[in-house]
Amino acid sequence: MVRIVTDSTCDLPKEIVEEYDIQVVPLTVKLGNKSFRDYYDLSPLQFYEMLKTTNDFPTTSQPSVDEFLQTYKKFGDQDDIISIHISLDMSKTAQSASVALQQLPDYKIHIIDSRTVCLGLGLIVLEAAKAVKDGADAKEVIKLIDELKSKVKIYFSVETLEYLQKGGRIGKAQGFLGTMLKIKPLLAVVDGFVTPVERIRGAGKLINRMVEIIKDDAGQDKKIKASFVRGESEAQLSELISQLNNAVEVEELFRSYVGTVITSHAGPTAFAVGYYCP
Amino acid sequence: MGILYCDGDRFKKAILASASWLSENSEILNRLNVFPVPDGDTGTNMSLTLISAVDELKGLDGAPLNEVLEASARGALMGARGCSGVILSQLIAGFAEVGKDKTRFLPQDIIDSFVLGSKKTYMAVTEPREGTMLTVIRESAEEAIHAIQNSNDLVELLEKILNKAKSSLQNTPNLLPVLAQAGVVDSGGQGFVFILEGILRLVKGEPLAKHEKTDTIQEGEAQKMVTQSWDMPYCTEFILTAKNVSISDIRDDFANLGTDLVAVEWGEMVRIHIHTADPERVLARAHLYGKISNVKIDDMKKQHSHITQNPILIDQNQEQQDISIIAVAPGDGISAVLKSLGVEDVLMSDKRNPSVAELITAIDSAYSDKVILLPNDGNIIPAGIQAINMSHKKANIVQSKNVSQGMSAVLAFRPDLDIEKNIADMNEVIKKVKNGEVARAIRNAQYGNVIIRENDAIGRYNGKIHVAEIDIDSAVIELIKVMVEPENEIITIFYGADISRNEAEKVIEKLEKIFPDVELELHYGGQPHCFYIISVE
Repeated sequence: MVRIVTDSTCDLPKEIVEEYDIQVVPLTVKLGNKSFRDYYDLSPLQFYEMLKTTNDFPTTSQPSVDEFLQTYKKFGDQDDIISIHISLDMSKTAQSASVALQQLPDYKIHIIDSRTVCLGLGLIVLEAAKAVKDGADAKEVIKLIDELKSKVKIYFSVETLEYLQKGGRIGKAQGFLGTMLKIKPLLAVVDGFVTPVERIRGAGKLINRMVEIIKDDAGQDKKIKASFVRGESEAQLSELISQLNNAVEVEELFRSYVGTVITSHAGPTAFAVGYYCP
Repeated sequence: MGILYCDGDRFKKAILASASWLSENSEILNRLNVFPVPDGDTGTNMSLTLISAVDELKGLDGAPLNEVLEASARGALMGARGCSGVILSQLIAGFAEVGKDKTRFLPQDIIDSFVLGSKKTYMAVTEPREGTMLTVIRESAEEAIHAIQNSNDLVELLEKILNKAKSSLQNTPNLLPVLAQAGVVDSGGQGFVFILEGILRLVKGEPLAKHEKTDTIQEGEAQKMVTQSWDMPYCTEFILTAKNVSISDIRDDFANLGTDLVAVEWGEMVRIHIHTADPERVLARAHLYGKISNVKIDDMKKQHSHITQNPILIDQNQEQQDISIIAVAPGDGISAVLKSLGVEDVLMSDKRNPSVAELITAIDSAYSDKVILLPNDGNIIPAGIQAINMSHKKANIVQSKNVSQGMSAVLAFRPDLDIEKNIADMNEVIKKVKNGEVARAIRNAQYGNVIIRENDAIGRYNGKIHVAEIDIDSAVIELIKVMVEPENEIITIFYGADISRNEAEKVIEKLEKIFPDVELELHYGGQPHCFYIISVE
C-alpha cells in the first residue's frame, strides 16, 4: 500500500487530511519561552491573536528525527511511504526525514523535496493522495509528484515585510522591496525560494496583477486547479477569488488558513493563491 | 602599591567596568535628563554607546593598547546615541588618538588623553553650553594636569579626576538654569562620574552591580519641572559614509535643519545627531553626500519614551544590478526616494537642468553597460535623447515627463527581466499615473476659465492650469479633486523646499476628510519651484 506523509507547512485543512489519511508531521513554533507544535498545539487563528499581544518574535524549528521515526513506524516495511516536504532551502525538515530513513533500512521510504511550501505543497500532497486513493502505485505517484513540482505556482502578498525580513526568508529581495514609498509586494515561491515579482502601489492593483498573471499563464484553456490560504484578514483573499473566478475557470481544491509556522515567517497578514494548469 | 601603567587588557577591562557601572545606574541618569531636551534617555544612550564599544572589543584579548583603543573609539562612534553618546565617543576618540602608537599609557598619556578628548567634545557640538558634561569633562581634565606633579600612580590620578568631576557636577545647576529649575545636576556629567567610578571600583575590587537602587528622584519628576516647546521633536541620528567631505561643511549645511546638532568624523564615517521637525529632510540632505546607515529616529514628544520607527531605507540597493537606471530629480527628497527604489545615480535639476554633457557623463560612468535614463521632466527629454545617442554605451531613454512618471517607471523595474521588457513595461506604466503640481503664479493671466492673479497658488495637471487659489492648501485640494477618479487608490504628495512638514501634514489632514477611501502618502520632495508635486494612481 502507498502511504502519504508530509509536514505541517502544507497547510491542508483537517477534513482533507482525515479524508485522504495523510500523515502530517508538525514543525514547531517558538514564541517567547513557549513552544507549540504547528496545528497540534495551536491553531492558526489562536496564533494570529497571540501575535497581537506580544513583542516577541516567533521562530520555528524542523520536526525531530524521532517524530519521523514514530510516523514511519505506524506503517510496516511492506508499505511504500512517500514523504513530501517543504523546500530544503526554507527548512531542514526533509533532512530529519532522511536521517529517520537511514535508521529504517528495511522500509520503502521515498523522501521528496517539493521545492515549494504552504498551499503549493498542499496541492501536490492532495493530488498525490487522490492518486493513491484511485489505486496508483508508488512509481506512478512519484511520477505525478514530479510533474506537479514543475507546474505548481504560488503568488502571495503581505501587508508588512517585517516578518519576512526578520526571519531571513527574503534575502536579496530586501533591497528591491525596502523602499521609502509604501508598496504592496507581489511575491512568488520559485524553485524553493521566496522571490519578489513586482512592487505594486495599491491593494486593488495588486489583486488585478495577480489575476492578470494567472490568466496569462492559463492561456487558451483558461482552466486552473487552485487552492487559497489567508491569515487574519479575509477581505483581500475574497476579492482575489471572486476576480479569479471571473477571469478563468477555477477548480478549487481547498481553502484554508496560513499555519503557525508559515505565519512565523510571512506574518499574519499573508494571503496566497497556489495553482497549476492541468 | 599603585598602578603605574595601562596596557591593552587593562584599558579593555576599564571600558567593561565603566559600561557595567553606567548600565547599572542608567535609570538614575534617565531621570536626571532635562537638557538639551527632557526626553529621559541619557542613561540609555550613554550605556548603549559604551556597550557598542564593548562589542567591538570582543575577541581582543591580549591585543596591543592601540588596537584596543581604536576598536573602542570605533565601537563607541558606531553605536553612539544621543548628544551624550556622541560626546562620550569623542572622549574615547581622544584616548585613541593619543595612544595610536603606544603599547602602554603612563599617567602623562592619560592626562593628555583627557585634555584632547575634552577638546574633541567641544568641537563635536555646534553650540557648546557650559553646565553640561562638556564642562565636567573639561574641568576634570584641567585638574588632571595639576595632579601629575606629585604622583605617578594611575589610581591616585583617577581619584583626583573623579573628585574634581564630582565637584564640577555639583556646580552644573549654577551654570545651566534649566537644571536648577528642575532641581537636578546634569545627567551627562553624572554619566561621566559613573564611568570614572566604574573604573575605580574595578581597581579596588568593589562590586559593579548594585543590590538595591538608591533613587531619590521619582520617575519623570525632573522632566515635569521644565517646559519644552517640542518644535523639533525628532531626534535623528545616522552614520554618513562619504569621501572628501569636510566636517565643517557638513555642520554648516545641517545647522539650519534643526537644533542640538552634533557631528563627528572617524575616517570616512561621519556620525550625525540632530533634533529636527523633519527627519526626511535631514536624511535627504545627507544622502547627497554619500551613503546613509544606522538610521535611528525617535519621537521625543511621545511621553519621553523611545519609539523607534522603522528605519527609513535609503541606498538599500547596494548590490550592483545588471541594468543601471539614471534619473533626474528636481529636489533632494525626490532624489532620495528614487534611490530607495533602485536608481543608481540621480542628477539634480533643482538649480538648473543638467546639460547634455552631464547626462552623458552620468550614463558613461554608470556601473552597467545597459542604461535606462529617466529625465522626469518634459524639458529635459530633448537633452536626454541627445545624451543617449552620444553615449558610448547602449543607453535607452524612457520619456518620463514628470516626477510621478519617473517614480512609476522605477517601481515597475524588475531586475529579473531583460532591458527590452523593462523598457516596454516602464513605457506602459507611465501612461497610467497622473502628475499634478502646485506652484506660485508669477503674473496675472487668464487660462481658459481660470483667472490667475500674481502670487496665486496655481494647480497644473496634464499640461493645463486647472485651479488658481489665494492659499496653497485650497489649490492642492481643488487640483486633487480634478485629478482623482474612482479607480484611483493612492495619492502621493511631495512637499517642496519652501513648505514645512507641519504645513504639509495639515493639508493631508484636510485631504483625509475629503478622500476617506484613498490612501494618502506624504514625503519630503525638496523641489524649490513647486510647493507640492502630486501623484495620483
